[in-house]
Amino acid sequence: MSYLVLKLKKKLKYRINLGVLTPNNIANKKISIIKSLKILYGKEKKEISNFFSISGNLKKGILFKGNLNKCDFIGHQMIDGKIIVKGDVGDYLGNKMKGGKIIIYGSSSNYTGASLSNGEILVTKNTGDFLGSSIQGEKLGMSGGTIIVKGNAGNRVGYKMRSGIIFIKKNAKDFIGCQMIAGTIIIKGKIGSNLGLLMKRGTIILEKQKLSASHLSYNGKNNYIFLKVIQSYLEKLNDEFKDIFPNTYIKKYLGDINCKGMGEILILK
Amino acid sequence: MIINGIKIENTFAEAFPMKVARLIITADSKYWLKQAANSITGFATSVIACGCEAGIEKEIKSSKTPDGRSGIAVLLFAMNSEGLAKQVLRRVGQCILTAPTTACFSGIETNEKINLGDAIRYFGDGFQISKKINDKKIWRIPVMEGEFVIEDKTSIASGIGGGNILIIGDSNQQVLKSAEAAVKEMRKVDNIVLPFPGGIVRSGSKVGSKYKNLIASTNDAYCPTLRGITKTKLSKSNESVLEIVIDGTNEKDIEKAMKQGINIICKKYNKGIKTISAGNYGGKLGPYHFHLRKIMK
Repeated sequence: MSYLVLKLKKKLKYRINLGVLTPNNIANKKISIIKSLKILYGKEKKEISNFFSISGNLKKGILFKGNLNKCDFIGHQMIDGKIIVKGDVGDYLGNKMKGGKIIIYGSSSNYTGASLSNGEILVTKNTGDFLGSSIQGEKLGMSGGTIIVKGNAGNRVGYKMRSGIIFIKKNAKDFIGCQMIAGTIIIKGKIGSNLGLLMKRGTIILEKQKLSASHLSYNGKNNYIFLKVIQSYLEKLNDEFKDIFPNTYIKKYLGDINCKGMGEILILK
Repeated sequence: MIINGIKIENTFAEAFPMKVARLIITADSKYWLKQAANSITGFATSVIACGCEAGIEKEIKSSKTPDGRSGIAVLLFAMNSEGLAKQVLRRVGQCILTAPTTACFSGIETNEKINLGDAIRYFGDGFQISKKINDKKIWRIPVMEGEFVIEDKTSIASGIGGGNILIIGDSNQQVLKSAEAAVKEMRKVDNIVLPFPGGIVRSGSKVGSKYKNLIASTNDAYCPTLRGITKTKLSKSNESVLEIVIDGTNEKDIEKAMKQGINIICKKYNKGIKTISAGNYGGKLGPYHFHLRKIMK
């Protein structure tokens, strides 16, 4: 077995902070030491072994099993390596992550990829609010890396986003790209209201939409060949991006015009 | 050594180290691709007066380019990194940015980088947009036609300039025909360019001149019209000498190009050709010596 497998033993009553369990943090540590690492369970500090059975080794990465929807900060400040979760996860997945890859075979909750600066997060189901956003009180959101959500996303996707790519295969709710500074958000499904509100720069790419918001200005159609360049780079990262921009002659909106924003919203169809 | 009646002289081509940048240019149509590629590699025959040596390396299939359109790879050579950076910037700014539908990308990856889009972006006057995906960054510069897409930086590498062969024969027409055939064959080799017009030089030079201000002057030893008054290297029957200069990213490919060029002359275009020679300066100019007989073994 080349993954360090952590299997949740029981249903959790309180939330757990799993920030300590990243491949870079526990590299070269014996299983006995990993078992005795202290984590926050509600307000108390407890040993990991109270909640997880641990086996295998870290050669390929960490594999979590079970419903971890009360487990927060998975992959916190992760630098490299791989984390796989077979189940749902809680808030702050990949918080301040700087490298490596996280795959969630399930859903994640709020603040997924908050302040992410590099690396890749893949969520196969849905995610909550503030995807790729800044954490409370901080000026900058996600500043690099890639987040792929195969399902739906909640409110404020890419809030204060600075760089990187967010790709949502289905729908996203309100305030997408709100206060966005740069970066790229691609949404294949439907969107909520207040798209790109207070957006300064950055690109939001939508599949098929009719936009009539007063803070966005229609810019006509043109050929945006950079989409093909982005596509070719992204295809190397993940198969999900294969042929995502079949057409580059598309509509563009600029905004938020109320704050002299140069953000762009591109409509593929 | 004699191949099909052509003497391969026991000499060598002397080449010197240069810095090289490889750019991939793409465009909507082959017409505009050619226009842009010809423009950026124009007036770039010799570092003596052009600042750089450049040429079209090869065409690139749409499946191999960053934006999925047809592309052309060009190589630009200069004597040092600073000189190359200056030339690349000027030429991309004036010849690629200006050409309709084009985009420009780095064609090699090394640790030594020079600014490409990062400098040209200022043309966008604040309206330019950058896009970063992992370690790749591109700039989108608004232009009257739409957008010009260019990679942030381009890598530069060590290259070699001045590989050459001399084709010596008894008839102007036959020497030119042989040289043309050799150029066609040599251009099939990757990682090299033939920077002179049509790949051929008729005015090969020697180092220095009787005039103080000139660093190079006509190679009188190979001028058929001066046979009677200079220390000639030509026989009485030789009427014409043409040179093919080769710049490349590595020794192996320059050798390969020289071999293919000489081979086609000896095998198919040997009529009227007497000697294949090469230009050197006694080993004083550069560390790369391409010995003809060794190459043709």
